[in-house]
Amino acid sequence: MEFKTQKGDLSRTLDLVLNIVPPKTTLPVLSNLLLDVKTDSICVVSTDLDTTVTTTLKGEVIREGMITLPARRLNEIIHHAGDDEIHFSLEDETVVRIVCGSTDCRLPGILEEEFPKIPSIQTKERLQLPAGMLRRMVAKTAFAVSKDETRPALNGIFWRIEPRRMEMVCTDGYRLARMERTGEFPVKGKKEFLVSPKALNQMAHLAEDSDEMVDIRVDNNYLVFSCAGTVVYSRLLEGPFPRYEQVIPKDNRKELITRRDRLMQSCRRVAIFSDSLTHQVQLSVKKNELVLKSNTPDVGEATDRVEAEYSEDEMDIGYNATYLADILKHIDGDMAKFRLDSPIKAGIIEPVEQEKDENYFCLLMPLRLAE
Amino acid sequence: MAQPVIHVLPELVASRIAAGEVVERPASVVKELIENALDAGATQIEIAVEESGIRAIRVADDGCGMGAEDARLAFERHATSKIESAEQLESLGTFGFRGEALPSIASVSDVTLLTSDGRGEGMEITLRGGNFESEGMRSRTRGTTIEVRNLFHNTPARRKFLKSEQAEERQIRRAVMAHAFAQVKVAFRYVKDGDELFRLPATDDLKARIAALYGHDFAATLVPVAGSEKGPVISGYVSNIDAHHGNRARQFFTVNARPVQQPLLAQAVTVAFRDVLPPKRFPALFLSVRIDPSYVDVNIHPTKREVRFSPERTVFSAVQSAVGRAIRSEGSVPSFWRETRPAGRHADRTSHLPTATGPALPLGGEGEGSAAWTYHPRTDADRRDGIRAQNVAAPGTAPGEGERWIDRLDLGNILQVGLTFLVAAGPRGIVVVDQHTAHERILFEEVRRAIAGSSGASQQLLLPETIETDPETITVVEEYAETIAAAGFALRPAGPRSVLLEAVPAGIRDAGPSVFLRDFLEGLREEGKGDRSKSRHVAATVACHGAVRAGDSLSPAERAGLFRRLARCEQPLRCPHGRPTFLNLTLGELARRFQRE
Repeated sequence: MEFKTQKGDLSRTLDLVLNIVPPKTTLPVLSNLLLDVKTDSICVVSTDLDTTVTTTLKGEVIREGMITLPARRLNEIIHHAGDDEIHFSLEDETVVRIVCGSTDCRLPGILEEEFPKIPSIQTKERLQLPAGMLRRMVAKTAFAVSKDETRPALNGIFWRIEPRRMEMVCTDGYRLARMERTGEFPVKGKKEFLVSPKALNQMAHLAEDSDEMVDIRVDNNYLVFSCAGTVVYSRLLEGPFPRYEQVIPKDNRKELITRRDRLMQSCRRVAIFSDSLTHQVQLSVKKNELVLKSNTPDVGEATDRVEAEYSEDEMDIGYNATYLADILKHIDGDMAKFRLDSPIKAGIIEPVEQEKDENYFCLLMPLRLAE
Repeated sequence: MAQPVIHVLPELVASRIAAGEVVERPASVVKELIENALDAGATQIEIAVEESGIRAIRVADDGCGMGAEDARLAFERHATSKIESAEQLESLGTFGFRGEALPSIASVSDVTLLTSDGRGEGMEITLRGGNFESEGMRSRTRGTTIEVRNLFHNTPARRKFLKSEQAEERQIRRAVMAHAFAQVKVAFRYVKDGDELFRLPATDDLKARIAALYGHDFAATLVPVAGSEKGPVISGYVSNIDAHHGNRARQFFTVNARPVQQPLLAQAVTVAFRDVLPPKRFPALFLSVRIDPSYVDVNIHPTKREVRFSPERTVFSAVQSAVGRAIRSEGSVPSFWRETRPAGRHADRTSHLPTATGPALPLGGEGEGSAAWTYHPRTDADRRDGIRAQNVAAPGTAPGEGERWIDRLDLGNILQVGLTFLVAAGPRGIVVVDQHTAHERILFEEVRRAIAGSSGASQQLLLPETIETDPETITVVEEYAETIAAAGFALRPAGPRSVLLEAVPAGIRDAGPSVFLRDFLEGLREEGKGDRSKSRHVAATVACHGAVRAGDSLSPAERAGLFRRLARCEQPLRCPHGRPTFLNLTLGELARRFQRE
């Protein structure tokens, strides 16, 4: 195996594959990148077994061959390389000589047979979507994904595609974020799958330009994105995702509209005095006013007020301040709308003005206030 | 006419049968004889045994003794000087009352009694296997000596069931010690096969007696217990939370000065120590319960080994709260702080320790200046780590008298080591805190307080979970409905084998709601006795699930916060499962490590 490449090209390639490399692993070869050099292409692969990324590297191939090299060390070498042209050559079975300007180094690797096989996918059906749209949908929902590993179904983004609409939903059981997009989607029937946020983020990373199209294929085990020469294979997560439609309240008729940034700031100020475990703040919903309160023994108490449009019954609702601020951060526009029912029912929070073809909202479960 | 089958047993046979109840083993002989001596008002008692009491037991006292007539009567069954009527059984002031001991002992051994009431010569009576053999006058100062030889020589079956010589001797020694702790004003001497094992001078101070028997190192690990709620007066000592033991050998109870083995009392102490000791470790304790004799029934067992209280609950909770208070006041302060208390106050507390007797003189150790320092014995963990923990059993130095111990730590520069331990510089060394156990303790107390004030916040679930379980657990859910709700769970029955979980206690960090609920119910099922333990269990479960783990990175502010919150805990030095939260590497220890001595 022997090839020449440019520092800039290699650097961009490493950017695409490096964040899949697991920081700690019991399988040493996963810390390595696979270099697959053929007469007409140089392919670079990284995997954590659940997500695999393959991309191509521009370069001049001198001899075919394969080897795996430690990803982070390789990245350091390239980062500090003193010249643009870098020359790789396999010296014996596993040692790669890297020559760049005045530098001459030898980097031991691991045989390529130990590297996991790239998944093969059994489907003909493919779908193309603009990268920008996907990126936005992921950004609006992925924050609500559960980190509780005991509930794997909540660790992913639920993605449903139908001919006229598409949605992504995430929940951790205490809050939920849902983004729906209407349009024309070339699928037959209804497609549903549960994808790891890591893979979707990686995909969002691929396209430099929002208008670029991402090619999507899916079978029973893998979802595959490809865009601009890079392919992301993502193992689908085990469902089933909860039947979330059933928990979306339909009768939340008490509407409150307030300045989103004011409420977010107020929430953060009052949260300083909340319990470090529960982060509980109390929202007193009053005529044309929201009063936020928190009170923790030994910590202190705080009250803050925010103007709001509201004309229904007054009530006190407890929320986890971190969750509330998180949601407000993801709502677009100046004004946020709350649709409420009672202090123990889910509250709906959404932008007052939805973007074109979009329907976005978050659900937040209250904390039951102590008597 | 046939010979009648049933006949009245000859008196000797009857005596031997009765003896079986009172005289189980050599130790019971020793116990009966010591109690007789105490009832006679002895101020000095000497106990000598040969071949673990089988060959000979000799108990000599300086009590009131007996005149010649009384001495002869002493071996008659139910002859006693101690009570006269059945009514007096209600309010016993003496150890004996059944009038069984001497005749029972005499029936299974050879006994020589030498006694004098101080008027004229003494009387000596000898019996063999319960039969009168001889009597005569011999000189003796006031008091009584009883020598029991060839115990069980005529009841081979009993003899066969005795344990090894060492085991029997241990029992004897324990009986002597139990009385020695119960009667500190009486001097005791114990001789085994001609060797004096201990000599305990009369004293006013239980701790001095404990020190005389077990050494000053051990006595220094004790904290005083005192309490008198709702009747029973509890006093004595328990070991501090660092000085636990592998068994209950150093647990002694007395009820109205009578040594007893009392599962009830042991249980009360266990409850008090529950969330500060590791599993299968036991405190040492020397506890005295004083209670109106009419509330105690000692006549439930011929050997009076156990007593019965009415009402039991009162005594139980009195012991539990007195012991709990003692370990809280002591266990709430890190050892470096106890050691840096002003020397004057310290001296006051230790001055009553006698210095003339005892195997070791641990005071003023390691050249650490004016404060009196005492080192308690190493625990297993210390030994493993090669770290010698320091401790002084200076009681009652709870924080809150102006400066607090936390104020002396450099909280601005706490290091996190291995993402597990927090290290702060203290006034006399280095303090190391385990972030997980410390946080568990903090959460445990906070949640327990929250439940006590029923302000357990509850997180509603977006996706209520149906949890399949067994009918037994469903029963638990119904039985503990209130506790479960107080903890912050909202549960609804959803069939004979499932419940619907709609809300969980707010703030659980890394377990799913159903995992959390299962743990919680499991805990309730295992230990759901008494309201306190229920809320305690809730607290421990929440604490364990909410606590930061080893491996979690903490910011400098979080580290300091952890120390501050720990300092607010009632029992900051142990996690709810009894593991330590706190380690103090003292200047002395550091100096030793660097060979600066």
